[in-house]
Amino acid sequence: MSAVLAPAAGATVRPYRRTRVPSESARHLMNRMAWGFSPTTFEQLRHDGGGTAWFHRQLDPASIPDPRMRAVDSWWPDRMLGANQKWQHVFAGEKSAWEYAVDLANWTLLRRTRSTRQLQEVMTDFWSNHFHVPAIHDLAWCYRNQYDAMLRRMALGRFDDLLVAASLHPSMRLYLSNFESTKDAPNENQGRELLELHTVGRDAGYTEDMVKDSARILTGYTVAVWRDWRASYDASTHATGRVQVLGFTHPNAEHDGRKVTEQYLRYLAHHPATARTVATKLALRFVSDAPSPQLINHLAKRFRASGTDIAVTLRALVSHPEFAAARGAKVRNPIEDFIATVRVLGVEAREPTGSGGQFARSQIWMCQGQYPFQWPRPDGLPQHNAAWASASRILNSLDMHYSLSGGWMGEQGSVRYRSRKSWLPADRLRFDAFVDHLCRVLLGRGSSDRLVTAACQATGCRRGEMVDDQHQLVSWMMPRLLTAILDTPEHLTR
Amino acid sequence: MNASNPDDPAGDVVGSTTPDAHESCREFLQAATVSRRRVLAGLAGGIGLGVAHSVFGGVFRQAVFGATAGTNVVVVISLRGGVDGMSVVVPHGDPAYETLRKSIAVPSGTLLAADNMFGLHPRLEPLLPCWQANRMAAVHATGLAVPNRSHFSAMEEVEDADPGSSVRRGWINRAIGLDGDSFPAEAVQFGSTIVPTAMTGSAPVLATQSMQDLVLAGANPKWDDATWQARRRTQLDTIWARGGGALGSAARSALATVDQLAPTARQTYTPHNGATYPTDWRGRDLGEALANTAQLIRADVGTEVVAIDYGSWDMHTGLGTLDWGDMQSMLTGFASALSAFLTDVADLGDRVTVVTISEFGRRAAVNGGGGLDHGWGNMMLLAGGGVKGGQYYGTWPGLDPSSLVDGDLAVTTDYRNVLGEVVVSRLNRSVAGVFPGLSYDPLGIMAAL
Repeated sequence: MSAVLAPAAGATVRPYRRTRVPSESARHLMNRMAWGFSPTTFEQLRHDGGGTAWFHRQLDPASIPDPRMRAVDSWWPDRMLGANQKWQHVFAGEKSAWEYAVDLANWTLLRRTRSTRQLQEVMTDFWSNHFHVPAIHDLAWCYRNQYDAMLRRMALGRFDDLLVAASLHPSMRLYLSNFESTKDAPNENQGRELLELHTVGRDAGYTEDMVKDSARILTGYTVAVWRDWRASYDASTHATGRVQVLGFTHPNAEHDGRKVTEQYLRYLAHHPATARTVATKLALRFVSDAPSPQLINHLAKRFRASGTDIAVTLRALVSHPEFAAARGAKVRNPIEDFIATVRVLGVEAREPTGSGGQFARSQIWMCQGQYPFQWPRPDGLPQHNAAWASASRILNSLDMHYSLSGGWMGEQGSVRYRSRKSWLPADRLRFDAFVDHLCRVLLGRGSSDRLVTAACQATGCRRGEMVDDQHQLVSWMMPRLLTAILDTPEHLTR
Repeated sequence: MNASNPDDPAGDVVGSTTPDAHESCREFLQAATVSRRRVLAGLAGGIGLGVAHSVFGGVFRQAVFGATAGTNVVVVISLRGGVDGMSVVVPHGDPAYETLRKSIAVPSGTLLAADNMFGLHPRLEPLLPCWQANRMAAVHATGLAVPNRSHFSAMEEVEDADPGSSVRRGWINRAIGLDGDSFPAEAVQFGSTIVPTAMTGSAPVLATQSMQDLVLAGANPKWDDATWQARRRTQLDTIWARGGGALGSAARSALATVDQLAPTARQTYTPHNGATYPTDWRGRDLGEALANTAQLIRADVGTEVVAIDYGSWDMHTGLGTLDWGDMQSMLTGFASALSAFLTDVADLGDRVTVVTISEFGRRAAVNGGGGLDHGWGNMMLLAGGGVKGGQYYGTWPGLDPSSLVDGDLAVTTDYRNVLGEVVVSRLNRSVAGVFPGLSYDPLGIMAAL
């Protein structure tokens, strides 16, 4: 234990001010409304004129050039093939459904890592959880890319439009069994989850009869499974006759039930209980595990008053004092942790070629068992801290940090890691100043006494030790130093 | 390595419009899903090559825990999604059964261990010796006292098992909190790092994908010598020793767990008594979790409860028959894995007891998709130590229209009475402490401790 040094009495940090850090509020915005602070997004934020200006620009993603995404999109050219074409490839044994799902996940991880439209990617994820459709579902998978594209396109638009699009999407029809729900044998699966998960929630007080009516309204929207997988409306299977769900009543006399369905969905979208559902979910994700009733009311009110405008609601959330007060209050889930880690370490996946273990194709294995879009139940990934604060999860995160700090993931040529020397901000500097610089790059803030102490302990270096590119710290101990800074509450929370 | 899956049975899926195509696709997807760990292992194996690790056989400090050796262990298998109890323990003697179930009714002549009223699904065949040795039993028409057809809130209710209380604490957490010990390995979940509601609460617990995950990167005796291990631990102690909220507790729990279990986790486990865990997709995940469970029990670190989630039983469609469909394949996986486990731990005498649980049963009548929507009454299976097996327990409410509740099998046995017996007889805990407010009315399934 002799190599482990106690901090010198009265030791303080040594700020390396030449490396700029964002203000606390700007860092908080990046940690919540982007995929975490990163030097690149910080640069973008400064260019936009600060946190508030950056956020408002993010609400209008079309206004933000995103040139690097074209390349990423081109790496998976068969993403957007039609459902039937994908099935043909599966039947021919050329590609499996699982591989299509993995492609979607890896492509998504790269978008989240690199896109300049960070908020759009964050909100696409938010709605992917709200309207969760597992990408490996044995039927729904074939439309999952199209579903994803729809969610991204509508992620910052109006919730009522989004609800209609998501509920009637072939991917959702396949996942929640609506494709085979008919007037003679209604299937309650989607009718129930539409109420419970997607809109008003269980406390709204709907009855079992209303669940049945909810399912009856949705009958007719089908998909030609095991034929050509085309989505269509089949009026002959629509259950006609009076329906009542909460305050929605309709004679539902016509065979073509599409009008009543859209009216029903829009009724649900504008229901006060739906506003509370959405407000609560937004607050859980972006504010804290215990948002105040005042915050929920405020958001729900803005949501309804704006005609379910998502951007308006987000503006209300970010400008609420409870948002600013919740810095660092959320635990990053393993996917968020992976993305944030790749972003601050500057890990650059290259275009995958051939069949080797390319980094771009292996990203999902670094999410510690939480593969994007593979949550097994319709309720989407948990948002409360407790779900992500378990012993084994911590061990898995530490393992991922260490592996990426070491540059040990992905085969040669498939990824570019920063060279160990590139971490040095000067030819020669004190160890504690070096640690401070690294904290600024990795965490978006200066070092603390505790962090410098931990960095000393992790490496066996002294605070005042001079470091240059010949120092063993740089030549082979950098992984231990980088991971020491990442294995902290500062990096594991947002 | 290849990011696509090495175990993929590429080409197995053939064009067809029969249920077989559906089936093979599901098989295909699942086969791919469960072998991810092998791929990950391949990746991790490859990365070590460029590492400047010094490899010495450093002995890591091992904390001493006040755990009692030779404790009884209760293994709780959650059949998530709401298993159809009437497909597992089939009420073939009820005159309405076949009418309600039509094409998905399990034929009476195929049932195992049948009596006049009940019989087991033929895919439970690997468990038949256990049943015949009177070490396995079933309870029917059990569940929550009041119907709850929402997956999410029913699961919460079943696992919280303390109606009327707003304290977020599950029954397993209460059970392990009642003894004097306090260390994470007392209650362990395999298969996911997310702590289930049943285990949530103030007593420390452990949720992990597998035993093999319980290693501290940067302080792995395989790569890192004693100096580096000590440096790594000191660094993490400095950061995590105090505070940090839920994350801080988790980190401290992680370090304690590594101290206690890493030596076991590093060993390759060989099943005992000739047990062979299933390797095909249907039973592999459960088999791995149960093999981990056996390994943990043999490590004898004082574990009392192991929780495992198995399967996706939410069969709104494609439930199938004996020849195809989700029910027969899931039950095949369940029975093969569980029977291997019971063989594996057979030499441990009566220490190990297995009980199943699920959030709700399913509707009595088949729906339009050849599946079943959410219902109410369900079955539970019990096997192993202390189970007075070879029989069916419970009060059958009947399937005639007047007996059904909103189209569902009624509940005549509160599931907490079944778990209560297990907790009392195996773990020697008080029912009142684990299931507050329950008017305890045991069925006599378990032999007294």
